[in-house]
Amino acid sequence: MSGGRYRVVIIGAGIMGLSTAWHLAKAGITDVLVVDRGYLCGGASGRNGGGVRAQFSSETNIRLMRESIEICRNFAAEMKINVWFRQGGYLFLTRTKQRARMLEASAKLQRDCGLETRLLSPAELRDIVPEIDPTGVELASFNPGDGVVFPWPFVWGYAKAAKDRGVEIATFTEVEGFATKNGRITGVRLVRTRHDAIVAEDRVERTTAAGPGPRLDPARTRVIPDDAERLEVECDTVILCAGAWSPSIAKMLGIELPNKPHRHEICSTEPLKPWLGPLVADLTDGLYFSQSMRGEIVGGIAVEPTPEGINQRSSAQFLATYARSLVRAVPSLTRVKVLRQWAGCYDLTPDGNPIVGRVDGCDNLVMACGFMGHGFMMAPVMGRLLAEHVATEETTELFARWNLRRFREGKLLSESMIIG
Amino acid sequence: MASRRIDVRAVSKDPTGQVLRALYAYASPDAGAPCTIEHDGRSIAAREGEPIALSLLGAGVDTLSRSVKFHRPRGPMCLRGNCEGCLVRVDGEPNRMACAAPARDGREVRSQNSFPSAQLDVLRVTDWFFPKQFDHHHLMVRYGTTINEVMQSFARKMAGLGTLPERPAEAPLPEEIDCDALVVGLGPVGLSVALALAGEGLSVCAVEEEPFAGGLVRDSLQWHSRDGERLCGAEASDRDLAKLRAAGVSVRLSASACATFDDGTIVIQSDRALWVRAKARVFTNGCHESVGAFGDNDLPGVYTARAAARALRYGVRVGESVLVCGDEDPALDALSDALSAVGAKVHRLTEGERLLEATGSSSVSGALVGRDERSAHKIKCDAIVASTSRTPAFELAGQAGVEAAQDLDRQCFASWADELGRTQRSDVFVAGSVAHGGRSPVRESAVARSVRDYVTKGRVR
Amino acid sequence: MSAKVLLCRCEDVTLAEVEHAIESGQHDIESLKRFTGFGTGWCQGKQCLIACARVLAARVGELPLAPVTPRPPVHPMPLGMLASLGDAVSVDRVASERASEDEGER
Ligand SMILES: Cc1cc2nc3c(=O)[nH]c(=O)nc-3n(C[C@H](O)[C@H](O)[C@H](O)COP(=O)(O)OP(=O)(O)OC[C@H]3O[C@@H](n4cnc5c(N)ncnc54)[C@H](O)[C@@H]3O)c2cc1C
Ligand code: FES
Repeated sequence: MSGGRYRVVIIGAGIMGLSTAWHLAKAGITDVLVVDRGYLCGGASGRNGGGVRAQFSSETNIRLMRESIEICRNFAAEMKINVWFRQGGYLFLTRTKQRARMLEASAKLQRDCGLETRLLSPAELRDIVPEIDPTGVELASFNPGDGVVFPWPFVWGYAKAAKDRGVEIATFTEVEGFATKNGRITGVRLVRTRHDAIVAEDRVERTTAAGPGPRLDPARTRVIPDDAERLEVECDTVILCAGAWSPSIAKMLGIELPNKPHRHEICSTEPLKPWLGPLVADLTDGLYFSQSMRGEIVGGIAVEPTPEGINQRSSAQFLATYARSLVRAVPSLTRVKVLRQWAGCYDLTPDGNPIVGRVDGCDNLVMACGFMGHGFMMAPVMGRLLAEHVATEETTELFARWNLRRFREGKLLSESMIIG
Repeated sequence: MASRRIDVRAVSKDPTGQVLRALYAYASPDAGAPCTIEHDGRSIAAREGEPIALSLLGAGVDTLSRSVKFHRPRGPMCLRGNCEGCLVRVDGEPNRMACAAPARDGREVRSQNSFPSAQLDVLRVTDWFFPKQFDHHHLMVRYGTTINEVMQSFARKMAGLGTLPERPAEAPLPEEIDCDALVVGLGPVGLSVALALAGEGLSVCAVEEEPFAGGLVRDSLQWHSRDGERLCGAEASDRDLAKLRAAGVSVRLSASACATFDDGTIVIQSDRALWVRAKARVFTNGCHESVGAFGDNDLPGVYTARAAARALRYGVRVGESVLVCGDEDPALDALSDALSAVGAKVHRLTEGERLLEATGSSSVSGALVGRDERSAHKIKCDAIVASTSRTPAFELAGQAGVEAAQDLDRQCFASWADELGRTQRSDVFVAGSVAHGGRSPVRESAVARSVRDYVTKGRVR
Repeated sequence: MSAKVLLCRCEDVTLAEVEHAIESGQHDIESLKRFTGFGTGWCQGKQCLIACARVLAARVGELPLAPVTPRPPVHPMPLGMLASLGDAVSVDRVASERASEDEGER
């Protein structure tokens, strides 16, 4: 890539951007450039827990995620790369009466939509995971079709398939600004980044500039040398899939987004022989954990208060909170060891639902951001819907509902089965 | 499985007496009392407190486990908690490092991830089935979803090392420590920085993950002078440690700084967690060691030079017939002499030769050496000591926010710091071989002064 | 010779695998790590990071500018002990003190 013109420029080579690129290519639109400021899997798509489930509390989400589960099942055979999708089910726990009523209502809705969701008493819970301590659990629900994937190969699978069909993917290439004319984007300004600049973001907000070594701009906590290569590409349509970085990019166009980046931490343990079937999620404190194909227990928990802003550093508060909740749920894990802790950013909207579709006042910009704890599982379906939207220019009912303008109009949506 | 315990009375060829002195900890009357541990159903004679890995090695057992995918045999390689070779189940707890777990009477040690035993694991076929690499990304993706799912459920059964512990364990309450400075790593540099900090009037907590102080000095087989006396590494280190304690430093041994955050550092000391809130953190935690890249470099019986020296200190020789090779390293000569002194046959390479491959089925039985593959010839040996350049352990300082960058001289990554130990973070200091350029000789007193300036004035300059 | 050269022992990653991954386009250390899985096992890179970085350097000309991001913990930590830390770590004393100290320097 060295300047030039593209029909579509996708900002962000996370799962959302790449799934969209692949679906565009599949629909015959191959004149596509995907840019990412870092390496593949550097954003939330490479940092998540890989949970894929259809147990939601709104019909829209249940139906979208059913399709996603089907895509996950066939991904390895279709895209020729293993994503280790394992359908061990999702086991939701609640510890309050009020949440138990909610769980009952959701389970009913899920069954009406064709899922096999069952409600379980604390005693029945142990039929599924004998190691769980049911003390204090009010009610549980289980859908055997839910599961877990390994996120990285999912990202590579889309990237390779899109490339094979002619899509260009430029990593270490960051969007710095736009050229606009009459409310349309005419060009995207890009700069080449460096690996040390990207990892710096995980490291520190520097307090003082003592000592040798390249200095970081404290506001952006990373290095872009003055002599970095810069270029501009022209395009017809821009799709913004930059996850938690989306608000800062929209700002370059004068668009204020209501979503805010929030750190979400996660960790994994030493690998153990398989013992845990489902992903277990406690709706009361936001704990979730599952066993990966390699045998590690991978999980996280919501920690209050989470700092707002791009922050991918680790905290002791998370470790202690997570460990306490996890060993309460499974006491025999006390001697199991944490091997690695890391963090990514949720892209939190005021109503917990994403922002998808066209943006009023910027004709050729399409958004796909505002995803939080379930953005990964959304992407296989969202990519298809976004590609159809760009190819046909038709707006579906879903895209109208999830449009940015709902915040201006005060029409917030709801989804109560959100974890983490 | 012949015993590899050294009989101190039989040490010969030790003209300066330095080998016998190095064995002092082992030979001294207060070295651990005899005890018995259980290994895969077999009783092994051990000494209370010594690393289990050395109890087993002393009894001739060097194959402890099997690798995660190929089921290749594995054994202790570094003897200092930096590899995975010694992972075993100890008293029902999976994945304990046998080199860090102390022997105690009746301890039950089991090998993992092998069937029927670590010595003879039938799942080794995986290793032969995938002669070059294990391409897990594309395994069985060509035959449709159903076959792929069968492969996956098999792969899941094969994954993982240990099994879930049967019982929970109570963790004792954590200890909270507030201090001016936390020093991580009590090698020679850490010892003197900590001492200098105490001299500056600061309250100092110093942690060391090993059960002893001294780092490389402790494991060395040369003489060291202290207060005009000639001492072995262990004696010199203990002398330094005593001075540190006398200066009022709170010293924690067997205490690993595992994770460090802006608001504190988690240290695991034996079975208890410490939460250390220090105004300044000083990292003097040195380097990692490895054996380098050659054929079957993971075979049990391949050791770092440091590991072989450490085994000696515990009265164990790594082999009867040992190939000692590696980068230009004066310590290798001392190690070779010591191994000969304790009765091992030592092989060295001639000019221009290198180690090409370790040979043996479940542990080392020989080595292929030569200038290139064509001129290769075989040496019969039951252990290989391969030393390579040491690489800075930048990870902890990195967690604290100190940049690790290329160190082109050493071809590795190291923590950025200036000659006064200061880094990009005003509250974090780095000194010794973990720092960029190695910074040797380190001016410990200057480092201590920059820490003092920060702690007392709240800033570096 | 049929022997394997192990660059990452914990995850059984061979020299051949790392070379193959570089050839297939993994030209930065983060991607190489994720694609081969080196550094994701028990030792978290203490042994293998530098070995793989040097192989990468030999192919692309120079050692990477920075290593992969070091993440806690450097040694595995038992969940039970972390759980016991609960109350201790929730007090953010030193951090807030430090923040106010550093304020003046920005
Ligand atoms: C810890 C954690 C656990 C999670 N668990 C789950 C789960 O179990 N299940 C699930 O479904 N979801 C989960 N999620 C959410 C999910 O990971 C995200 O919603 C999803 O990956 C978002 O994908 P994305 O492509 O939109 O964003 P990202 O993957 O973040 O991609 C955005 C990309 O944009 C790039 N970018 C940013 N700025 C620029 C710029 N200026 N120029 C060019 N490129 C730029 C970034 O480098 C990045 O690669 C989790 C998230 C986290 C953090
Ligand atoms: S970790 Fe025990 S021998 Fe390396």
